[in-house]
Amino acid sequence: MNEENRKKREWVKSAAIVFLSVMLVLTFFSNTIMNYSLPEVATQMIMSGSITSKIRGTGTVESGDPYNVEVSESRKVTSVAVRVGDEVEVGDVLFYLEDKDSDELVAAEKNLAELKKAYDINILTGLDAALVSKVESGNVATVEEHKRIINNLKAKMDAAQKEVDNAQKALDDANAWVNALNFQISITQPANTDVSKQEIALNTAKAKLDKANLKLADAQEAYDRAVEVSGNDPAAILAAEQELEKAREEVENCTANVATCQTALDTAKFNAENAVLASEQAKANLNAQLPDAQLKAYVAQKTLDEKTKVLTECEAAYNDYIAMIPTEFDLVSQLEAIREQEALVEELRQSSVGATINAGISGTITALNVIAGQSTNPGSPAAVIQPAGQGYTLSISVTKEQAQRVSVGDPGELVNSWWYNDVQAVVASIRPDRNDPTKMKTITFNLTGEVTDGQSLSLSVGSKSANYDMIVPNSAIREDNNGKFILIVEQQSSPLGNRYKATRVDVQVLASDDTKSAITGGVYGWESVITTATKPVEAGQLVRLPD
Amino acid sequence: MKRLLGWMTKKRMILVISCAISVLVFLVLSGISSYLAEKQDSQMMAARWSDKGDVAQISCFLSQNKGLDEYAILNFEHKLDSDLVEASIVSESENENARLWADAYSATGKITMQSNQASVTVNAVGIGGDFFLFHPVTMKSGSYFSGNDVMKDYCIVDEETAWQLFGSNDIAGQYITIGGIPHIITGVYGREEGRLAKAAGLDSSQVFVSYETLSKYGMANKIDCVEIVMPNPVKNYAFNYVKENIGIDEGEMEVVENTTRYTTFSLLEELGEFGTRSMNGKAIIYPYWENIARGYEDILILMLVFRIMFILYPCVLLFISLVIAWKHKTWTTKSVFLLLKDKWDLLLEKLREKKRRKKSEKMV
Repeated sequence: MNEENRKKREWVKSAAIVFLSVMLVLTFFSNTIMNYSLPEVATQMIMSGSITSKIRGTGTVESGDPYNVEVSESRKVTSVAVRVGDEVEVGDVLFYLEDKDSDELVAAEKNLAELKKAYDINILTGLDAALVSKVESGNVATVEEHKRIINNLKAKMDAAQKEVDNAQKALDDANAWVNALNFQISITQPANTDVSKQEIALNTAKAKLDKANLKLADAQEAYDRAVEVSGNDPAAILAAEQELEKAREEVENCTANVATCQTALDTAKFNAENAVLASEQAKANLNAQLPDAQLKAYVAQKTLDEKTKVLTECEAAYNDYIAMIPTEFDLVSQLEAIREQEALVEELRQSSVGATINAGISGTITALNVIAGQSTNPGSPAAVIQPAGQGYTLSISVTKEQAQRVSVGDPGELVNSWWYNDVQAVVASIRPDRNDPTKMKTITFNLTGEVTDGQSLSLSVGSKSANYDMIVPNSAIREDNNGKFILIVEQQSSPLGNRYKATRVDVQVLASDDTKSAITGGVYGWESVITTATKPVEAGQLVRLPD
Repeated sequence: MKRLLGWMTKKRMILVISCAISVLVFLVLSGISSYLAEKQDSQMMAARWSDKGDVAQISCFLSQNKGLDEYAILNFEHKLDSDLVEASIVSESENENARLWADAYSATGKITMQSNQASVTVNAVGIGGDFFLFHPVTMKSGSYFSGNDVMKDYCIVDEETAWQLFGSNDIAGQYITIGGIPHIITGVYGREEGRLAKAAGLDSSQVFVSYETLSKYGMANKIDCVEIVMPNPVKNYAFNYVKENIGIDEGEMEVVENTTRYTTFSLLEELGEFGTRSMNGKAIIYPYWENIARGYEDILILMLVFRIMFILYPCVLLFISLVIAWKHKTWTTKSVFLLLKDKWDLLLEKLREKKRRKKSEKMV
C-alpha cells in the first residue's frame, strides 16, 4: 500500500515538474513564438508629391510635307545623278533619260496607225464614195435629220402605195364594166319571136273550118235529102234545117275563128319582127359602148403599172437609206476615234519631257524609286525630296482613355532618351484613328533634331504633373466589395513590448501613374501603409515589422 | 471514480483509448484539410472580397477551340451590371465607389523579353481585369498592375527572369522591350514551389504581361480563363448566372465555383465521381493555379476518406455501447421518475424548513 502510494506520488511529482517547466519555457518565449507566426510587412510613409501619368507609344518617323518628283511619262532612265541623303538645289539634275519617245507616245502612235488601217479597210470594201466623202467632210446629218428623212421617205412610200391601191381599184372597176357589157350583150335576145303557136292555132282553126264546111256540106246534103226524102215532113226538115243552121253557124264561127287566128298570127308576126329589130338595136348600142369601156380598162392598167413602179422605187429608196445609216455611224465613230487619237499623239508630242529630270525644290533626297535601266512610272514619284527646313513627324496609336491624358502642345520625351541628341517632340494633333475611329486615336508629334525618315522611336507624353498631399505606392492599394482601402500600421504598447496592428482605412484614388497613386481618405498623412507582406494580412490582424 | 475504474477492464480501456486516438487523428486531419484549403489564395477570393459570405468566386475555363475576346467579356460585364440592377442587388457599402463584383481574364502563351544584357523567351500569362486580386502572388519587390490600367505596357517577372535580364530582384520601373516596344517591369514575384506547383506548369520561368501585349507580340491562344467574384444571394446563383451568360457552349467550357469546392459536401460529390474524375472530354488546358487546386482536391478527398474512417470507428463503438447499456439497464422509467420525485420533495421540504426558521427568527 505504501509502495503504491509512493509510486503514485513520484509519478505525480515528475509530471508536475515537466508540466511546469514546459509552461515556463513557453511563457518566456511566447512573444518570440507569436512573432514568428505573424506576417512580416514592409511599410512606407504616406508622402506628398506629384503624379504625372504618362502615355507611351512607339511609332515611325515620317518626313513632313515631302515633295514628290513626278514624271508624267514612262521613259527609260540612263543614269541617276544623286543618292539618298544628298542635298540638292532647285534645278539640279536628278535623272538622265534616254532620248527616245516615251512609251506612252509610242503606244499612242501605234494605236493611231491601227485605227487608220481599220478605217481604210472599211472604206475600200465597197462603200459608197458619196457617203465616204460626206462623212469625211463632216456633212453628216444629225439623228434628228435622219429621222426626218426617214419619215419623209416612209410617207412617200405610203402615198405611192395608196396610189397603187387606187389605180388597182380603178382597173378593177373598168374591168368589171367591160365584163358587164359583154355579159349584157350576150344575153340580149329578142323576146317573143315565136309565132308558132299562132300558126298552129290558125291551122287548127282552118282545120276546124274545113271540118265545119264539110259538116255544112253534109248538113246541106242532109237537108236536101231531108227535103227530098221526106218532102213534107216538117220535123225532119226542121231538124235538117236546124242541123243546117247549126252547121252554117259552125261554119261562120269557124270562119270567124280563122279570121281571128289569122289576125293574131299577123299581129304576132308583126310583133316578132319588131322585137327582133329592137334587140338588134339594143345590141348595137351596147357594142357601141364596149370600146370605151375597154379603153378605160386599158388606161387603168397602164396607170396601175406606173404607180406600182413608183412604189417600188420609193421602197428601194427607203430600204437603202435605212441600210446606209449604220454604215454611216460606223464610219463617223471610226473617224472620231482617229481624230481623238491624233489629238492625243499631238498632246504627248508637245508635252514630251526632255532629256533630264531636275529638282523642283531644294532639300534632301529621302527616296529614289527608279534606278538606271528602269523606266519611270507616271503613277508613282520617281524621287522624294524633303524640303530644307521642314520638320519630321511621328504618329502613335492610343486608346481613347489614353488620349484623354494628352493635350496638344504637351512635350514628349524619348524613352531611353540618353541615346539621342537634342531630339525634341511636341504633340501637334490628336485625331481619331483612321483604322478604328470609334475606339482609337492617333497622336501626331512634331519632331526636331537629329532624326531620319523611317526611324522607330518610343515616346512618352504626359499631362502636366499635379501635386497631391497623400501619395502611396500602387502596391499599397487594396480592394474588396467595400471599395478601395489601405492598411496602416498602428502601434500599441503592451506589457510584453510593442504590438503592431493592421488597420483598414477606406480611400479614394484621385490619380495614379506607373508606380504611385494619390489618395484621399481617413488618414492624416503621417501614417505608414503596408505595401507588401509575407502572408496575406487582414484588417485587425497583428503584424510585425522587419528587424 | 472508483466505480468507474472498476468498470474499466483491460479490454474496455484499450477500446476507449483507441477511440480517443481515432477522434484525435480525425481532428488533426480536419485541421490539416482546412489549412491546406485556406492556403490556396487563388480559391479564397470570396473571403477576401466580402467577409459576410454572400459572394462567390466562379472560374470559367474555356477550351482551346473556343476562347473569348475582350469584347465578349466587356459585353458580359455590361449584362451583369444591368441584371444585378434588375434583381435589386445593390452595394450596401458606404463607399460610393465600391464595386459589387470584380473580374479577371487570362490567356497563356510564350513571349520574348529583351533587356540591355539579355533576351529571354519565357512562359507568359496575358492578363486582363483585376487579375492580381484573384491571384495575390508573393511580390519580392514592386507592385501588381491591373488590366484596368490606362497603359497596357506593364509586366511582372519572376525571380529567375529578373536575374537573367538584370541580375537583380529590385528592378521595379526598369524598361525591357517586347516585340520592339518598350515595356515597364512593375515588380518581381516569387513563383510557387513544391511538387504540385512544378507539375502544374510552374516548372520554368513565367511572367505576367497584359493580354494586349501577349496577343500582339507573343504567341498566345485566345482567352482561356475568366474569373469573377460576384454577389451570391442564394446557393448557386452566381454559378448558374456565369454558366448561362458567358456565351460559350457547355461542351466547350468548364465552370467551377471556387468558394465551395473544398467543403465537405463538394468533396463528397467529387468522391462520388471517383472513376470518371480523371477523364477529360473537353479540349481544356487548365492554368497552373487550377491544376494546383485540382491536385489539392485529390489530396483533400483522400484525407476525407481517412477522416470518415477515423470518425466512423468511435461512432460505431459508441453506438454499440449504448445499445448494450440499454439492454442491460437496471432502471426503468418509473423508478427514475420516483427517484426524481423524491429528490424534488426533499428539496421542497428543505425550503419550507428554511422559511419556518426565518419566520421564527424574525418574530424573535
